[in-house]
Formats: sequence, structure tokens, C-alpha cells
Amino acid sequence: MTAVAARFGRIAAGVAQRQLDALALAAPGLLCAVLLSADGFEVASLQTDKGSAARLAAMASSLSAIAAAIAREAGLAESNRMIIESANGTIVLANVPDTSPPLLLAVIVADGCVLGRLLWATTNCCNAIGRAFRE
Amino acid sequence: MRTRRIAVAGLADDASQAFRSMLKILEGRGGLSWILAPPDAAEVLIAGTHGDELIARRWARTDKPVIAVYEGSAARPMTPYTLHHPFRVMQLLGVLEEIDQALARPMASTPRTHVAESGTGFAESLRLLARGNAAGGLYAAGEGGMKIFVRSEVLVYYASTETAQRLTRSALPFSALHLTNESPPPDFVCRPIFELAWFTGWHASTTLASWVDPGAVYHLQRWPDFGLLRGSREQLALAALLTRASHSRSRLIELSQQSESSVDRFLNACALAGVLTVTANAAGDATGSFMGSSAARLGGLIRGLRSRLGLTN
Amino acid sequence: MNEQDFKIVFTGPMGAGKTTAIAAISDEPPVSTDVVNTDRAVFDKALTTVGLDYGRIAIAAGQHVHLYGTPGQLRYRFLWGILGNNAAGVIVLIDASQADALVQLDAFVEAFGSGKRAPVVVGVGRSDQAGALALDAFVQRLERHGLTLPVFGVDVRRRDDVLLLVDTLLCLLELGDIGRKIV
Repeated sequence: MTAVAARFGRIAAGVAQRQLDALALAAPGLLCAVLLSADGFEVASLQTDKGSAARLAAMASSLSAIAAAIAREAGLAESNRMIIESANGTIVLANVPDTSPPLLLAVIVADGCVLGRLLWATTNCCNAIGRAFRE
Repeated sequence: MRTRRIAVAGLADDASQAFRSMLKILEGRGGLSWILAPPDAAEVLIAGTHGDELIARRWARTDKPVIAVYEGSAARPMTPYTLHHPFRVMQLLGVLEEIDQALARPMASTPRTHVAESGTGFAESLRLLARGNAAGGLYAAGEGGMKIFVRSEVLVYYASTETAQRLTRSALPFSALHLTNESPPPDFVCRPIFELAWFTGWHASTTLASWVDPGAVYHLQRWPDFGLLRGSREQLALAALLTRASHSRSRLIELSQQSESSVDRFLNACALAGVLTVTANAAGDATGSFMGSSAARLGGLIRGLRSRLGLTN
Repeated sequence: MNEQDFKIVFTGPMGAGKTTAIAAISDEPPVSTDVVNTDRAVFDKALTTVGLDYGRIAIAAGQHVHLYGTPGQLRYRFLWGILGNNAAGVIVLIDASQADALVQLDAFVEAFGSGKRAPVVVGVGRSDQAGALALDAFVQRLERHGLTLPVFGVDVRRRDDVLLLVDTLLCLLELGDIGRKIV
């Protein structure tokens, strides 16, 4: 068990891991997914080595916090999702609703995955993790 | 090959042994050989806090360099040349090279004295006390509530809050420190001796004090803690100049575009606080030049930023 | 960023006061990216910066000094390089009461160029706390690496102390001018 999983509990980490497994089935072309705390610690991850999951967690938390600051600056409500599109893949950073401490999900897919399907699968995964962590 | 003589006093056994074997390693380095000599015949003393107090104290009354060795979490002695035990051979070499340079410059004329200037007697006694690294007693100066106590081996002074504030603003009308059996009253505050030395030096004279060699080239060993001393802009600028390169007094006045008296007071304070060294010749800027092309365009911005932040003089 | 502008970077470990220092001198309340801190074992505070802090000081029409604060934790090192790029000067804030304060000093001073790319000023806080390292320990640590940087005891909750750090940085920057005049 990682020190980070220790912080959130073995059970919660196990639940998160199952939800990430389900996400892999719902989003074809998924390269990796990391569930992270808003301050950049990995909670659970899929199809990635631990080193890159930790780096991805840190970067995703920074980006998400900067996106939230931009939304506030623009007078918008708190941002809840961020999409990075590149020629050969897509990254989605989504807030898990109503968890304490706040959690984020970072998902990377290869080119070819339909964006709508990816967002739908990511949202479902976030909602399921949110429910599980609130219980 | 040139030789220089160094004496050992009050070093712990392990430090003393380490020092002796390092001297052998350094033998002949740079065409210079350091040989051990009795204190009276030596040009340099390396001294610790373990006994041999009399030698260190006698030495303190001369202008010969002393390398103060200190250990553990003890505060750094207020002399320009210090080593923290255990030290490495390269650190020793660095200090010895600096001292060799300082000794290489033509001997300064006999020390000038400004007995008439207020505070000099006190300042001089503080300087001598700080040069001795050995365990000492409690020293005092002043009368009644306006009294100050100095404990040299732990590098603190005791004074009333009022006196401690006053010494930051003006010279204290004290005569030389003397050994005392009294203890500081319980309501006296305990402050770093660096602060006392700095402000005593700063307020001692508006011209170069007797303890600063007027013809030397100066270098600042390290930045004084201007968080503690509430450094002024002039002091920050002079410290920046003297930590990056070595300069003579006249060059310093020219570069800083400050008055002679503010440069002299700065040198007085740095020397008394033990952060100023003298060298034989001006050395170039060792830190390399950062910023390159950007510096020139920053001039207006720096002035603007200072004025916006209320940092104007 | 305007040609005429420059930026000052505030860096240092979590809890050293980077956000506070920027807030003390910025014209407007700074943009912050604080989130809930789940690492209370390392530093016990409610929020921590994970993106950047950003403040600004207007100098003249269209001229600004930009103030950037970095996240403190090592896992955000990728951002240090991004934020430190082109900085005119760097202020490293260290908390003397943290057990690994000397290691942190090394890490941040080195990551931001050891004063060789741009001037570095070190502000040490909480050195008066029981068990905290004395200021001289930080000075010596830098000396061991051959560095003579300004190291001041400060409390960044006091605006004057933050100004002292900035002013020292400006003095070092001006030296760049002088240095070139000599050559």
C-alpha cells in the first residue's frame, strides 16, 4: 500500500481502483488514468508505472488549480472539467463532485476515442467515485 | 619557497590532530609552506575554546590574524577567519590563502587612534574581546540602568530594552568593557553580540575608525543579517558590492556614489562585526555576471518599483 | 509580458510564506491556486499552493513587476523551471523550524541557479522558534557550496521584511549595471 493510499484508506483506494477498471472498459483507447487529491497526490492509478502516475498527479493538480483560477478571474463559477487535445490523443481532467478532500480524475486516451464517449465515461466514473467516497 | 608560521592554542585533541595532518597535506601548495611555531613567534594563531585562554587573549590585543575554531551549535565567532570543526582541508586552505593575502599587503602604518571620539574606547574593547575565542567571563560597561553586559564566549549581550534600542540609534557613552562579578538584572534582554558590534561600529565615527586599515582592499565574508539590523538601502548596496568583489575605499565610494562618511561607517561596522577581510589586491567578480543584456533596461523599472513600494530614500 | 516588465519569483518549501509574501506587496489581491492540503504530516496548514501565486505591481503606464510564487513540494518541480524561466530575481523563503530546512535550502537555491543566472536572496523565517536552526547554519551551508548569498532572518507577515528582501534583490540587480560599466 502506498503512503498516499494510507492517507485515504485502503477501502477507498480499493473502490477507486475498481471504478478505474470500469472506466477502461467504457473508454476504448484509454492509455492511463490517475485519481488524485487536489494537492497532487495519487490515490489510485491504472495502466501506468508509479513514477509517472505521481508526476501526472502533480501536473494535473497544478493545471486544474490554474484552470479554476482562470475561471474565477473570468467571473465564471468553479471550473469542473478541462480538456487538452493533441494530434494523437486527448487528456481530460475532471473534478470528482463533492468529496472531502477534493479529488480529481486525469484520463489520457489515444487518438481515435470519440470525445463525447470519453467525457461521458469520465463523468460516470467521477460520479461513481464521488458516491463511493461520500459513503 | 615562502614560509609562514602558525601557532595552535586551545584546540581540542582531534581538531588539533586534524589540523596538523592537513598542514602536511598542504605543504608547499602555491609555493607556500605553513610551519608550526610557538605563539610569540607565529604570524597567525589558530585557536579554539579549550583552554589556552591567556594566549588567545594576549593575541587578541595584537593585530595578528586569528583563526577561530568553533564546534557544534556554538555561534560563529566575530572574527573574519573562522572554521567550524570538523572542517575539511579545502576549507582550511581557503582561510590560509586569505590570511596569506592579507599579510602580503604592506604593513599598515601604526594603528591610528581617535581617543577623543565617543564610543571608540568601548568599541575597541569590544573588538578585542570578540577576537579572543576562549572561554571568558562576563564583561560590563556603563552605569546603573544604562549598563551593558557582554558574554564573549556565547556571543550575546545583555541590556535594558531601552539601552538595546538606543544603541541602534546612537553611540553609547560607554568607556571600555571590564571584567565584572555582577550579573545582568533579570529584566535585561539578551541579544546577539553581532547587533551590538554592528551598531557600535556604525555609530563610532563618521570617518574610518582605528580598527580599519585605510589603504586596504576590502571584501565582505558574508552578508550581515539585515533582517536583524534593519539595513538601509546604502548598506544593502555596499554589501552587494563587497560580497561580489574586493574594492578599495576610494573605489567603493566611486562605485556606490555614496558619501565618504556612509562608506566609512559601513566599513567600521563590518570590521567590528568581524565580517570584513582585507586583501592585497582587488579581485574580480567571482560570481560571474548574471543578467547579461537585461540589466541596463532594468534601471528605470528598479527606480519605479522602489518608488511604488515606498522604498525611496 | 511586456518587454519592459520583469518578474520576481518567490520560492521555497511548503509553509515558508510565499503566498503571504506576495500578498504583502502586490497591488491587488494575488491570484492564488490554493487547494486543501492533505499532507498535514509535512506541514499542518489548511491550504497549499499547487499551481502558482501571481501578483503584480504597476510601475508606470503599461509597466509592471510580476510576482510569481511556486508550489513548495518537490513533486511540483516541473513548475519551478517554468516559473523561474526569465526571472530577474529569486527570493527563496525557508522555514528554520522544519527538520530538513538545510536540505530544502540546497534544493531551492540550486534549482533556481544558485544566484548565477539571476540574483537570489534568502529569507529565513521562524529561526527564533525552539529547536529551529540558527541563521548562521544556513549561511554556512551556502558557504560550503562556495556561495555568498544574502541570508536574512525575516517574518514575511511583516511587509517591511518582504520589502527588505525585494530591495536587496534590486541592489544586486543594479550591480549588474555597475559590473558592465567596469568591463
